[in-house]
Amino acid sequence: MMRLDQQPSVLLMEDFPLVGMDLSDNLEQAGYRVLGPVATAAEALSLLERETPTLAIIGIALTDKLCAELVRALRQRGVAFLVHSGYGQDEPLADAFGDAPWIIKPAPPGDVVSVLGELSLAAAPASQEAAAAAPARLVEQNAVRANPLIRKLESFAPLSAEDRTLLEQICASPRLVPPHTDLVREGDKPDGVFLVLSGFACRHKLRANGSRQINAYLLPGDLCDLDVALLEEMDHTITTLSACKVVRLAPELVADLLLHHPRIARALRKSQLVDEATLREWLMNVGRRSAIERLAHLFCEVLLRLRAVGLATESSCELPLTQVDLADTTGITSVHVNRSLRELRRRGLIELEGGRLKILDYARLRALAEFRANYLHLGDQAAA
Amino acid sequence: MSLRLQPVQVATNSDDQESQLVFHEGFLVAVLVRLSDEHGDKAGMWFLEAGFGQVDDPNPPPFANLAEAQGWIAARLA
Repeated sequence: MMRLDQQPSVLLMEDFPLVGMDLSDNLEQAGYRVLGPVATAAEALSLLERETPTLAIIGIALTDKLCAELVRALRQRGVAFLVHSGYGQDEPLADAFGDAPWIIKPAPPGDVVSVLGELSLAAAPASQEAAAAAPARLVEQNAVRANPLIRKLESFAPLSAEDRTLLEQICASPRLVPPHTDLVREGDKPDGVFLVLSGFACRHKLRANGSRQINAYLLPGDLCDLDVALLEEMDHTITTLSACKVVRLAPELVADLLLHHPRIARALRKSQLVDEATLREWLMNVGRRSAIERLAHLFCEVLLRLRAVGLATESSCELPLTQVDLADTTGITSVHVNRSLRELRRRGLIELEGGRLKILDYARLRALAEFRANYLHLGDQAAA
Repeated sequence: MSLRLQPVQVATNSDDQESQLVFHEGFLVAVLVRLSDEHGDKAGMWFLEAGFGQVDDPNPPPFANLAEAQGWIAARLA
């Protein structure tokens, strides 16, 4: 199976929340996927149980009794790490960390990111062929990878450097929207196009009795209805399911992209076709598949879509959805969702815990759902 | 309105087995299944596994007990 997840991940341990948030932002900007921040070695160990990061930053109290165990666990997994600490490297407590790079706290986040970059190149274990093959371009590539819109559009049409710069600018100031927030409601006059940069949002319609049918997921890199400004009113509602980073593109900006940036326009139109193809597939799902097949199909799709924008590993991804969300997506009751999830687990096909989906046997899950990725038009990326 | 219950077991492919067929004037109108411990805060409640005719509903609420379920079914048939 082709490995699509080449975006390096960093386990960030930091006991000062503000430092953690700041570092986390800087790491994400540099193209890393951040696991954490966590404040204790115990939390870090439990995260390590779930996922092995590419690199780690230890910025927690060295007096934490589990620190030595943490270092052992990182070494066992071949994870290179640096220490970001208020203590000097000559402290007796520092012995446990061997000759790991040491940065005295507080250090500018840029320095931490820069040392981490050197560490990733120096370490470059077998699991990082991409980094080893093209070390000089690592940072640049990561910056591009970090933008899911660019990743997605580039899979549909080649973009120029100028196109990428423009798209970066468009995405530069996203709004952080809490979960379960309506971005635009049915009946509203459309005012631009929403672009999701992180998190899960959805299009849905409500019945008078409050029951909801989710018609589409908007995942990072997805945007809704390019030409919605032609309509007088919205015929459906767009709502965040999890916390999301969202950008609203004004109708004039969308018009400019479509008129004056032919490569971007081509990719956007193709993306629109994929949205329609996906809707047809979802219609097939709710009309002609059993409860367990519907969920299996949905999980295959979400994994591939998130992998295509660099936000999933080979077999696992975030799935910040409730059973009610899944029920409203697949047109079944939450009782049937619960039973079907248990059955999928019992058959050894998936794990779903803490908002994270892990597909244990993709081949069998795909066979169960009769999932064919052709409608996503991912090209080589669908070669899973 | 009088409804008649008949205990059965339904193969739901889960731990939810204890069930009741619900008859009205000799016709089967619904199948209720008691939710097992698998269902967290809904455990012990009754679920409309199937409703026929006017009792059909894609979004049935869970019922705290059989009396509540029968009340809901009777209202649909009235």
